[in-house]
Amino acid sequence: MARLLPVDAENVDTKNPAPDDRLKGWLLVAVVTWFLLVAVGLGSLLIYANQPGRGGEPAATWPNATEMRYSRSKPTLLVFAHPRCPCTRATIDELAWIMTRCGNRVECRVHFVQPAGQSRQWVQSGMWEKASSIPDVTALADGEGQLAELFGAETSGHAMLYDAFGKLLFEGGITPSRGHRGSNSGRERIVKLAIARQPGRPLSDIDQVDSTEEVDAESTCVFGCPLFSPQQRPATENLHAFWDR
Amino acid sequence: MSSTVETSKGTRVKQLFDQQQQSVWRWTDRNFGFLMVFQFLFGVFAAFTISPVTWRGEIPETHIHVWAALLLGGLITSLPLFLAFAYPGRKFTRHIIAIGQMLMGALLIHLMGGRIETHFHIFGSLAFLAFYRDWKVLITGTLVVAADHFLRGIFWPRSVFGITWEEPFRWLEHVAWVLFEDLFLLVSIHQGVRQSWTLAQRQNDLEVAKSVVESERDLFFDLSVDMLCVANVEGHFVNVNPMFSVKLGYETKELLQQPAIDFVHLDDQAAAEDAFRELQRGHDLIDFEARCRCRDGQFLWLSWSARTPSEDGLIYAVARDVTNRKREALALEEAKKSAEQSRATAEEANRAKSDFLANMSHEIRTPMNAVLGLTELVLETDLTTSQRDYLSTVLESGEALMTIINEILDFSKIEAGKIELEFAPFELREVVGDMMRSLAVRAHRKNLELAWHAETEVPQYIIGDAVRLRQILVNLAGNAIKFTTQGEVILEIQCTSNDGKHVELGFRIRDTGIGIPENKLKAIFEKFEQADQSTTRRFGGTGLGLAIASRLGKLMGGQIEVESKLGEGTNFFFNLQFEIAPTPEKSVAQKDVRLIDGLTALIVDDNATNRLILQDLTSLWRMRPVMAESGKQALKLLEEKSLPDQKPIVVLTDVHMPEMDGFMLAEQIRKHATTNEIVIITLTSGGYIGSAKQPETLGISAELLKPVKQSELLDSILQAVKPLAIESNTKTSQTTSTNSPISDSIAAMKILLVEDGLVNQKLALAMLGKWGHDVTVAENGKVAVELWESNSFDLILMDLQMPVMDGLTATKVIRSLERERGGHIPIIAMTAHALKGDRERCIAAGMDDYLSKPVRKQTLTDVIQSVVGGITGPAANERDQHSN
Repeated sequence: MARLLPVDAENVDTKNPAPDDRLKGWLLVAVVTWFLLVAVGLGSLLIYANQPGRGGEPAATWPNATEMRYSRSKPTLLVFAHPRCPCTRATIDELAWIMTRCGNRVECRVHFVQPAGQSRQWVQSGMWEKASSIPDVTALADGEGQLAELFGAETSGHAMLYDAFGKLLFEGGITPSRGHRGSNSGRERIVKLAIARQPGRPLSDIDQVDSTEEVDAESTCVFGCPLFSPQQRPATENLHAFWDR
Repeated sequence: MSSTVETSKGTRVKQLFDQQQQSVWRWTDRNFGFLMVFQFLFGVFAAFTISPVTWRGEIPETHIHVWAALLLGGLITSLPLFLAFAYPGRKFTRHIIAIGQMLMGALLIHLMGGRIETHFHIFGSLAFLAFYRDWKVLITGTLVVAADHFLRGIFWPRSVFGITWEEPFRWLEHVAWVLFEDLFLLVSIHQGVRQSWTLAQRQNDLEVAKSVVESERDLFFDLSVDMLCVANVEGHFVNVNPMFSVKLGYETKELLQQPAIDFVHLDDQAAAEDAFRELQRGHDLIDFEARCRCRDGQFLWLSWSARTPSEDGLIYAVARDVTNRKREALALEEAKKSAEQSRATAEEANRAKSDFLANMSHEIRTPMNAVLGLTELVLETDLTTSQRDYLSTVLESGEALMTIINEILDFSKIEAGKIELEFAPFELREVVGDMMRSLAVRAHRKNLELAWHAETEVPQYIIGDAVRLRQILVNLAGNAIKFTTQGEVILEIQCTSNDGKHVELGFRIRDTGIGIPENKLKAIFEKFEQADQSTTRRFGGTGLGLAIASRLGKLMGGQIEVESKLGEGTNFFFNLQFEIAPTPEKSVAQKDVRLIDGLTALIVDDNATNRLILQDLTSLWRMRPVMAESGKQALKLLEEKSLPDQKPIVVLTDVHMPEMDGFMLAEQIRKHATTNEIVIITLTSGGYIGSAKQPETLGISAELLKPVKQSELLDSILQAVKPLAIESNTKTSQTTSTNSPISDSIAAMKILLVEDGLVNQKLALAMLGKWGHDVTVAENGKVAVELWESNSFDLILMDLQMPVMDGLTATKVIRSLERERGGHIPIIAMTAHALKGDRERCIAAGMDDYLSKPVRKQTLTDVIQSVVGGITGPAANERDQHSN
């Protein structure tokens, strides 16, 4: 065909030509710059994700100022959440993980803070629906954050576990970082405590089960949005910065 | 040399492999480019969907994920995307893409909140990176994952492991799973690379084979004596082989520069454009012929064949120079035209010749009619011996002249191919008998024994042209008589084959004549040839007789051959095939032959051939033939009473015998009465008929002219043996007399003679008046019609060529009037024309029969008798009554 056709249809040499030194240099600079920028970006994102919210001052015993009662037969798990916080989705997912393991051995309530002036619909977001759909979990609205304030919760996703005697067993977050799902010490601790603190079971079982845990097993960082704006922050402000922990 | 080839082959395979790899790399780069754009958009979408804002109480703020998706995602995507499209196929491009892809995985996992499903992005990305078929890229990607996990494990263990304390080797577990996938991907890459090598090897083999084929094809393209070309659909030559330049004289460049149609003859351009359109419509072009212009201004006829355009819009065509064939065809056409003209000229000449012959025939026959007719009439008057002798010579000379004219006309017709055979059933023995009888006078005049004999196996009735067979036999037998001075002329007919439907008959005419020299045996069948010139002077004749017989024989499917010995005689013989005709129910020979069954036939003849012939004939009729060579032997046989008693004996005796002739034998038989009834039949030549002693006085039952016809002899025997059983008006007369009036059987009639020639009028009036007919003469057809309308006639004798109104027209007028008025008057044509078609024209015009001039007494009588019969015409009766 080559002879019959005038068009030169010879194969083009597609062998990769070696880039010249100028190009090599330019590329090297570009790649290094690009890599550094990406590393900075990813590092910043990691820093943000691992920055916990305010821990607040959770009540060591069930406050008497509230009409809401704890369960006398099994541990009571309270989770205070901002109904619109995207990071709290991870907390709800982890709560589902916890409830899958604990079942009805724990009484769980999720209190969604309803700021003053916000409607009920604002509170009953997709997250409310999701929390309600978890078996043995009750979603409740916390008008003006009174309960959160009463129990000392300031960051969305703050979980508190009280035993059948109203004593605080655990408080803190149940996600590994902000908005991230996955294995974390908070959820593991709650499951162990809930199972161990069944009525009639000696307290020493807990130590036997979790003998390796350290001190902060009773408390973890909470990753989420603040439940209150600075103007709404309670008078009994007791803030702890991340670096204070 | 071999190693060089191998090296070259290896290099080419490597080159092909590299091309394939390059192609794969480029393709994968581009697709990664698209994928990264998609991932970037997906990240943005996920950020806006999942975490568009973050909250401080009830105060929303833009979530950092949104900025991360836009800025960090855009940053990660930018460099790989740029390289994928700016530097596709490069090594650093695919490595940067690998790094970018894995970083994008980390970002997406983060943006999706660390959902476990998002981690599959890592494995999917590694699988996609395996598309590069470059294990190093896979390692790069894996290293990024490992580094990410390693660093996170060190600095932010919680982001990887969910716990705040460090697990030094857990990151290795993550990397191990990645390596687990890498293991299979590396195997896959290895197989892919190996297949690429195989593919490259095969492609190289194909290229080698293709190269060989293409070089051969190019060779044929260059060597072809036909004109091969490639053209595009716009009608331009794209490439032409060298033969184009050789034939048309243009350089290849010139041919490629102009539209192909420019080289076509102006008169052929429309047809060429139509053909080109048909080609574009999908119809192959086959043998389309058009003239193409050469550089020198000449035109070549080219025959084009082409295939419809290929997928790449090219038309492959071949043209063949057919100029010579065209020229030959043109020359052939002209030759045909010329031949046609020549044929027309020849036909015209032939027609002129035929006209000439017709005119000659007419012009000669008209005066000969008068010469012969009037001479015959004068010979019937009282004349002196010398006058009779002179006039007899005149009559013989006239007849000889007519024979010559007839032969010339016949030969002309044969030569012109105008002889057409007629196939009709006829009785062979009757035809041959009549023919031989016509020659008897000539033979007997020379004291020759003329005899014929047909084997009993020869069928009685056959289908063929009796007239032409008779003509052949007359020519051969007449020729034999002419050249025989003493002895005999014998015709023998044998049956050589018979399959029930067809029969092949062998005819043999042998004589005891002067013979023919061997070197002249072939020449005698040529026209105007005789054995030597002295023969012509001695025996006369045109030399056409044998030529005519030979050609007629060929026409009938036979070949006349000759054997001869000088001084001893000649044999002519030929075979002809005939279809056997069924025997008519009313056959005298079949019907009455029982009457003579078992009778003794005493055959007396000094000629052995004649005895044999009579023996065969009588045996055929179941008679008991007894032979005697002389009268004395016959008498002796009768006296010995060796013959059966009380049964009639039929004596068949020749008249002309030495010592005791037939009459003397008859006289002796009658003197010696026996107990048997003896029937005597004599066989005689013409000279002895009407001898001194009357047959009646000798008790001779019948006197037959030799050579005797079978039917004639049978009828005579039957009539003699049982007279009462035979019909009185049998065709055969009891005695044959040449002096009996020819027209005795025709009653007097009133005849209208239509003839413009005074001499012919005079002759016809003399003949017809002498026979007692009342003849009225009309000088042309118009007068004849008028006379026919105003008078009553029994017969019209009508000439054809006449002034005012010719005979054919007059006949048509009479027949037309008869259709209105009723009735039918017999009309006999008399014409000097003797060419084929005259008879048919006469019959078509309504005539009853046809006479060719010169009109002879016997012929005229026969024709009149056949047309009107022997009864007295009513018109004549009416006349007689008036006269009474």
